[in-house]
Amino acid sequence: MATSTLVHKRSRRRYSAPVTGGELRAVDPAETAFERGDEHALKLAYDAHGSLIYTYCKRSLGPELAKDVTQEVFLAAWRARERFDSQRGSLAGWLMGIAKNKVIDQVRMAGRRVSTVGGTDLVEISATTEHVSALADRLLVSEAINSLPDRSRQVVELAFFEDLTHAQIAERTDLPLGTIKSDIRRGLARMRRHLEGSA
Amino acid sequence: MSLDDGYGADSLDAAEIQQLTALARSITPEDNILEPVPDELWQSIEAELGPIDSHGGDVQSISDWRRRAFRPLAAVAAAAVIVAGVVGISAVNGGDDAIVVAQADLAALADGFEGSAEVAETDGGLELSLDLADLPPDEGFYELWLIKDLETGQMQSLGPIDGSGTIEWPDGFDPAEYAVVDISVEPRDGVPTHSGVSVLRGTLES
Repeated sequence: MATSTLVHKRSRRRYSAPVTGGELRAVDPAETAFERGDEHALKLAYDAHGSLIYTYCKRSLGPELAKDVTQEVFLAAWRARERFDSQRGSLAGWLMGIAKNKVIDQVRMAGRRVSTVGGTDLVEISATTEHVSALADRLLVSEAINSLPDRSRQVVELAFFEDLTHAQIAERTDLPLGTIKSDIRRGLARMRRHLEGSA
Repeated sequence: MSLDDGYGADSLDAAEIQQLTALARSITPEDNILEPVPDELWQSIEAELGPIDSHGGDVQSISDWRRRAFRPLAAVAAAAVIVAGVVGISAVNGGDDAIVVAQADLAALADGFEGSAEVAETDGGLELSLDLADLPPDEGFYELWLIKDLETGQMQSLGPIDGSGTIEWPDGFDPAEYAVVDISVEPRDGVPTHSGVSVLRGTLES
């Protein structure tokens, strides 16, 4: 059919350059400041990612413990700032990695107290540790998508959540296939960068 | 779903794409909602840290920098040990009349690079010394910079380098302001501005 031939021809053309490290690194201004160890960097990091960390802690540990652990995460991050390397992952991811460790410590401590009561509680501990690990990953991916520019975010949401093909997205958004592919690639790369930071 | 056809083979492989896609699809509506941080949480963080100084020591004004340079050797060494996060302070060479007043570990921004920088006060004035692992051969050349502000691009070139060495600190540039030591790799195109490709970078701390 004429329409599908046209679509195939368009998909062979490259509309945009591949995503490079430089493009990814332009995203979070708190990162450069943090890497330099600027005195304002921690506040910038907190303003940019405090909600993300607090939300993670609160959903894992409840509101009271969440406040303490969030504070510990940012203190630990500042003290370990020389170890942050934006080449290895994003600042949001790195902060989440610190948070994950602290949350898992709390979960294990709680588990230990409970497990003295009876053997059946041990199953619950490991399930909860996996749960908080998975939650960290989902929050990072959600953050990656929500931080995309509007058009890219729309394309990514259509691809992942409405399960549309490229051709269907092109029809819905009236964007060229090349733009759609590069928007999705950018979204995937940003997700990966957050996840790598937390590994 | 055709997410995995031709997604820039240079950066993401099919397996990664599948994993990321699966992860994205596991997101619940609740995961998209972020809670605001409670009031005063920042204040309690600040209270724990005390005044934060980018030089890592107790807070001193920039104009104190020159006065610090004239401290006797023992006091400089003792102060350096207290400074958080600064590793590998090199011993002052008793033979020269040189006092190390600032030091930076240079972070490698690309594989195969390693080094550190030091600013020393001598009879002849300030000197900047670089201690670098051998620089890998390159089509371009390496250039040394002192950066005041990465954001605005305020910086000063100290010219091409090919390895470790010591040079005079440029007159009129305050090491407290131009505190980021940067080594870039430059193409041989006659363009004098920073290429934007840095291989080593660190912040001088005293």
